Amino acid sequence: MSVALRINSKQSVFGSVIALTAACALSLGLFAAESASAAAVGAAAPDFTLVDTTGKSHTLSSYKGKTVVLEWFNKGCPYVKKHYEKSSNMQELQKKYAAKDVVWLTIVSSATGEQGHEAPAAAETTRKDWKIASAATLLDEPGTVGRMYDAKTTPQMYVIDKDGVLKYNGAIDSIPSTNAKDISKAEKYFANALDQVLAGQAVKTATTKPYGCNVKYK
Amino acid sequence: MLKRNLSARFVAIVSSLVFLLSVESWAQSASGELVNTGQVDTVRNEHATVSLAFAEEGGSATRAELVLTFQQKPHWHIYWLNPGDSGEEARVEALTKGLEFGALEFPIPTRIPTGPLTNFGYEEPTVTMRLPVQRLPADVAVIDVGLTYLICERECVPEEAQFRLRVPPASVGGTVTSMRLAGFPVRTGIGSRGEPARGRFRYDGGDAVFEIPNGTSAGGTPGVEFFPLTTPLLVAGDAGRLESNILRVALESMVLSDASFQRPKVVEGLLVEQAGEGGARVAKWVRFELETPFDLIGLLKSLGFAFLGGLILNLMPCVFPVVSLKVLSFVKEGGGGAAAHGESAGSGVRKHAYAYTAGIVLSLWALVAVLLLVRAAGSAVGWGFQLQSPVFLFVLLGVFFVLSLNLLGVFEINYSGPGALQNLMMRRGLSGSFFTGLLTTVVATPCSAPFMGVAIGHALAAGAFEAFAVFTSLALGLAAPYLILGLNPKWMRFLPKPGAWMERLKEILAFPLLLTAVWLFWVLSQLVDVGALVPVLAWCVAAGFVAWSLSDKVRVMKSMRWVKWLALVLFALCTFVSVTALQAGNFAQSARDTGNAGTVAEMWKPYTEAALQRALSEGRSVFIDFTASWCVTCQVNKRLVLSTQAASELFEREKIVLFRADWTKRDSEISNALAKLGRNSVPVYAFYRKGQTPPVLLPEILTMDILRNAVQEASPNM
Repeated sequence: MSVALRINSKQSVFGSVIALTAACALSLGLFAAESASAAAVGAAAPDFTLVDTTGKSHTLSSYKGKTVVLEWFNKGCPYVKKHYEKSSNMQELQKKYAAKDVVWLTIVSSATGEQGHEAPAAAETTRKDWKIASAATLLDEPGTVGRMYDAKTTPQMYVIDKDGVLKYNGAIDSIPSTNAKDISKAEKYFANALDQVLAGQAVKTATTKPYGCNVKYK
Repeated sequence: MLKRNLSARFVAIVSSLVFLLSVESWAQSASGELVNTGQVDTVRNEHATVSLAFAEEGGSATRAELVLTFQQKPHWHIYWLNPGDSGEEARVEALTKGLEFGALEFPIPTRIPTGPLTNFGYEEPTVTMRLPVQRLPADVAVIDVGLTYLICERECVPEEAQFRLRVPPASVGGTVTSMRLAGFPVRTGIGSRGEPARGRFRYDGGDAVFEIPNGTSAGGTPGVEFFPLTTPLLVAGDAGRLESNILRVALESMVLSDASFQRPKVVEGLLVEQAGEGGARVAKWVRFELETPFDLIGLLKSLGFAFLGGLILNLMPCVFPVVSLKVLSFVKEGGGGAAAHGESAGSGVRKHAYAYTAGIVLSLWALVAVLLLVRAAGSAVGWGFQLQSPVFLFVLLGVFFVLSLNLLGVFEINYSGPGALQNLMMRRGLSGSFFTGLLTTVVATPCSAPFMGVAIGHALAAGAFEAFAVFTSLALGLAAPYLILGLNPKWMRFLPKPGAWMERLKEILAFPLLLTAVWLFWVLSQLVDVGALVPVLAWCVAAGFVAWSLSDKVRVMKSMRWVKWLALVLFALCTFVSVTALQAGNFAQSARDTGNAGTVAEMWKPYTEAALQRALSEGRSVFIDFTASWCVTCQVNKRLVLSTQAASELFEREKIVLFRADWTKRDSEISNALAKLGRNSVPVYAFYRKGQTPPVLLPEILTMDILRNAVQEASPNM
């Protein structure tokens, strides 16, 4: 239904063509396997349920009415460390947006035996040691949610608005490096998009190429 | 002998002029031998041993290059320029002041699959990259180079290394123009020296469909693979599906699903072909441009701009002397006599106007045809490109010099003399008018009038039809004043009556022509060594000798007949020596070094894509002056506006980073930068407000007010 509505709302010919293509791809995906519906900017973010480090379940759809951030995480990745250890860029962003009632979910899709994979207890310790200020760290050991969102790198950032629509998918900022000095020079793709979503504006740059280590899928 | 790449020569014979263009082709490389100079520094990192060596090609002291070699542990890999789904490419930094590098040149990558993701990189134990040295100050004996790179197995480790190398004694001295060597695909856009091939592409549903340019793929080998540099756009894991000469690559889902995503109009990348089973891999850089549907409004606008530009071109300093002569010939033909002879004189003027217009139109068509051919061969060229050829400059200089001798009356050839070099400018025949039109085109090429840049940029970005249409409009604009006189011969009475004053004016006009010759000589001096300039000056003397020997007072003396033959032999000899010397090239210093003398010039840094991106990423305001020695408009703007104290103060106050992109010589990096701005000619003045893209483009003719308004508008403290 939402697909049909989307087509109607697109008035420009070009937009309709794109929307139609996206809709076809989307509906094909839906028919093929419901759980495998891919994340698409401008469409409803695929729903999922994951367990966090304390054993608590989190379902995306239960956060409707709030803006949600998904952050792909791997504690061994130098690009993640750039934003956590070499700087405290990520923790500061987490605190800043928590104060604005944003639900920030950190997700680990590393498979068993791969870099960044941690048992719940160890992952909870990491949260404390690293002073991670997100709402929760969700464990996605089989990589199902990572693949659903086509998450490629750590870090990779997603913004979902109050209506559950995916608004941003991509890099945290514009300079792909492990050098923390670059953070202040970079264009803040993710934070800008999140600010625009919170302000109820259209997101200017909604898709960027994420950078970092590859997500350690099976 | 220097041949940076294979030179493809296009010989276009336009009337009596021979255009010789030496055009660099991207496809070939001069294969040279790397000679290790013994200057090597090696750093051992945990997963790779990296060494940096000073190498020279064939022992040539003036063209140095650094070679970076990674010895990787088994199963570890480093990345290509676009690392694919994750990862990061190696980067180098010149730590010695004054030392400048071109872009790091990467070997042909392979696809490295990791789970559902794909990387572009190198798993082989030894990976060699090349680093061209663009500038090496003479007083530098030791250079320091920094390196950062990411190396991964399953996990990734960012590494750093610093190298210190002694400069081999023979390499010291000014600018180093590096040469590309065999086996390395060279890309353009980020500071490399090769020329990409050009192709077209379109979006088709979930795919991008690339038309592989002719000659790029040998008859649809199944082993063709595409490595895009433009991201995010294509699925990294999709090497492409080949259907005859079309390569289909899937769009990334993140791009496909985002309706607001601005899909790129240009996709650059590396086409890699496997020559047979287990054969060598061959790679070519290709720049694919989005097929654009026919745009009538845009075309009409371009036609209008081109006409206007052509009209204004009449007043530009390089065209004005020639068109003045044309006015004289009009006066002679019919001006004063129009009233007396009535209709017949009018029709004569009309015919001359048509012949003149035909001369301009046909020569501009010839120019577009050559330009399109050169582009089809894969070169990045634009308006005024023929002035990047020393031989063409020499021909032009010769024409101006001989013409001015003629106008000064050094030699007059009787009109009945068949086949001789006639006094074509003032010749009564229709061919004289045609020739003047042609000459107008030739001298107009270094000039760029307002409105022209936009029109030409648009025309060349579109297809051949648009290019011809726009250039025809430009030609008509250039010819318009005479065409209008021709269509309304009665208006000729507004012109002054012919008389003895015409002889004097003719002589006076010789001096602007001589000045033009001086200016062409200066341009030539920017392109070649002094050694090649001396034969050109000697040629002028020989031409003067021939002209004198042909003058009436010498010609009538029977005993002096041998003088004519001696003069002609000397003339032929000088012509041969000059052309040979100019073709041998002996390119002097890099064009980027020229004209940068004095304190004002120090504010201007040579343009590189990397330097621009750095400045923009720091949020700085940037002003780029796209210029060339042979571009008169550029030089005028430079003298009257950009190099003035007022401009310097303005730039300083607004903290603007200044780049000068010197296009005097063919430079693919600058050609590409111009193409990105939708332009194909100089001058172009681009202003990036506090790192924002796209930049504001200033008009071709600058005034201090225009500059101030454009630049200060951006400033919050105004």
